[in-house]
Amino acid sequence: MKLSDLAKSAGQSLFQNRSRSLLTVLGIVIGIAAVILMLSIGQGAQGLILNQIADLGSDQIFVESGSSDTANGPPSPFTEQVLTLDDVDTLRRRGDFAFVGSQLISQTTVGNSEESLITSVYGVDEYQLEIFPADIATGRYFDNSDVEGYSKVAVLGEKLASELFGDQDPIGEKVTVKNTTFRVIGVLAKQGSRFFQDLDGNIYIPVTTAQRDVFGVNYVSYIAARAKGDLEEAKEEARFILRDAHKIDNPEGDLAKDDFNVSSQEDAVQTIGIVGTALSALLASIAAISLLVGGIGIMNIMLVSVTERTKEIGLRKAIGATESEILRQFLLEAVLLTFFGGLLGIMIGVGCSALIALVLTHVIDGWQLVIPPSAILLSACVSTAIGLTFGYYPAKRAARLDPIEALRYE
Amino acid sequence: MNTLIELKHIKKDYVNGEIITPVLHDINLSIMEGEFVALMGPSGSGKSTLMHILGLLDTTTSGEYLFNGRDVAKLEKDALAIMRRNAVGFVFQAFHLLPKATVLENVMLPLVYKGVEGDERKKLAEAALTSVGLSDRMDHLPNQISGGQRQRVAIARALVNDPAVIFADEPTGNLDSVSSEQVMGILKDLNASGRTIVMVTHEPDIALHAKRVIRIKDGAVQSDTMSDSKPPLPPSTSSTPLS
Ligand SMILES: Nc1ncnc2c1ncn2[C@@H]1O[C@H](COP(=O)(O)OP(=O)(O)OP(=O)(O)O)[C@@H](O)[C@H]1O
Ligand SMILES: [Mg+2]
Repeated sequence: MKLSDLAKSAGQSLFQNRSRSLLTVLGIVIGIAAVILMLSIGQGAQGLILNQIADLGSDQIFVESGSSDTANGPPSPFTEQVLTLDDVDTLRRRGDFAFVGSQLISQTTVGNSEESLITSVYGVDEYQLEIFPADIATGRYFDNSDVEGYSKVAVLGEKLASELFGDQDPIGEKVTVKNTTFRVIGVLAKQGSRFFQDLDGNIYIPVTTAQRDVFGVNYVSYIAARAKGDLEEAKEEARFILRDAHKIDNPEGDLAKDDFNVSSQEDAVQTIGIVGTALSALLASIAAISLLVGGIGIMNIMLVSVTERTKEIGLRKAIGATESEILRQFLLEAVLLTFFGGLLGIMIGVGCSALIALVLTHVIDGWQLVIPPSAILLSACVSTAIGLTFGYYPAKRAARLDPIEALRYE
Repeated sequence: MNTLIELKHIKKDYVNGEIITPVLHDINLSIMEGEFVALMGPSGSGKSTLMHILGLLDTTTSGEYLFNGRDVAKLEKDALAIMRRNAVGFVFQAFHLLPKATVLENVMLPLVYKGVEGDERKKLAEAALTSVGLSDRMDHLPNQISGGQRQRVAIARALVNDPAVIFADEPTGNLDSVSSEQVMGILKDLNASGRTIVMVTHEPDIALHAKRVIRIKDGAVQSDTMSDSKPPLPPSTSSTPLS
């Protein structure tokens, strides 16, 4: 029997039962669509995050309050804030860092005579832009005298500036942060979002003013620094200096004993990698289960089909079909079924990925639709393999039927 | 004339688990090329069983079956399938047409397995259908034609691969007398053009069309007569000393 005849006869029999074929293959369709979607979103997210990290540079280190145990979780409001501007000074004086900067971050109301809204307020110093590079659109940034002198001056994010002042030039205008009035001295250029945070809505004020006049605290949320040489050495140096400053007796370097935690982008990349892998594993297992269930469905319907067509098989054998020809016919039916299911799944998966990308580009800056070609190839192979695997047993059953008994089957 | 079929001490038991049903005991007979044989006998005497063995669809329990000089028991399953597609045509009492395929497609089916090209396949099938008088029903489905026509389709399917022999198990069993005569006319014509025909029938007047009548009873050959009033052949044509 020629392959073209084989394919034609397999295709015909699937087409004759088309609604059943479609329902049978639904499990495969969903499974493959899930695989595509998962790989697309996974790669999209990874690409986005790695891009942002690359933008930021990889020599930054961060110090925050709380020992490393608590620091790994989400920031807790119960963590005692132990980092102060003295610590920042100490690090600058004693450490060998390119830059050390302070950040006091909080949400509060920001407004002028017309608008009022709640946004992130960053208390920073003159080194902020050295550590987190950004362009200045108009005006200027803080200098040392602004910070030392508790100046009431502010720099606005691009979006915040247009929300508060529209087309009007905000330089020299007044904004109120909580209850204190500031004079706008600069506006940053559009930055987009970083790690899913919109940076353009922020307002920046000198950290000293933020501590004393706005929030009435004496701590900072983060100390950020840029290392000169080796990142790990810089982290270790920061730990050493701060242990000394905080009078923590910890010569063995047990991170759990510290009341602060030093990390870097690298750690973040690692964490993202771990989370990403876990998420991928979860999605992959969902897809695998769906494909397994789909495969069992294929096997089931193929067994039903073999039983239904017992007479036909008997006749085919009686007029001279060999066992391997019958086997191939049913195997091909199963493979065609799963292969087209796979194709349908790929189309749906790509469609959904595109749809999600379309939505996400509005929410997250820099999100890109990524359909890895390997995912499509993998899906096509997997769906074919499922057909072969789960179609084999029914096909073997068909091939082994005794022609006389099969013809007698009612 | 060559001997096409030779059976020596054929024995057939059906085995279903513990239960063994002996059906054929000691069948000895030979059929020459070009013969037209009618197999007769009471219901349950083993005619269909014998036909299935002759048609290479079933195996024997013991004994020797030579088809065209070859020992069938020594052939692999695949070799048997290939012999079925090349040398044997089978007509069933219940027609066994594929219900979803057209008349033409049904007749083309053996050629598909034989590997005949599409165009040639169609030509041969059309010729076979024309020879059974169904050139105007080729695109019908089996449930759109009469029982007699279905059996003629089955005959066309049996002869389309130009077999050495056609086995017909009660080909007229489900047909009225007019259709039966038509079917017998076709089989007779096929025989007249040199094809060997072996047919099972219950009806004496159908058996009259054959040149030779073999009667089976209780799994053995009871009588074997040439219908053109030649002296009857002995029940066993092979003169093997062991029996
Ligand atoms: N698969 C089977 N298992 C067990 N016994 C069987 C099987 N097939 C047939 N038989 C038995 O073998 C005997 C012969 O059956 P067979 O069909 O050959 O008879 P037959 O001569 O063709 O009868 P009829 O004229 O009614 O068609 C019967 O007694 C039947 O019960
Ligand atoms: Mg019978």
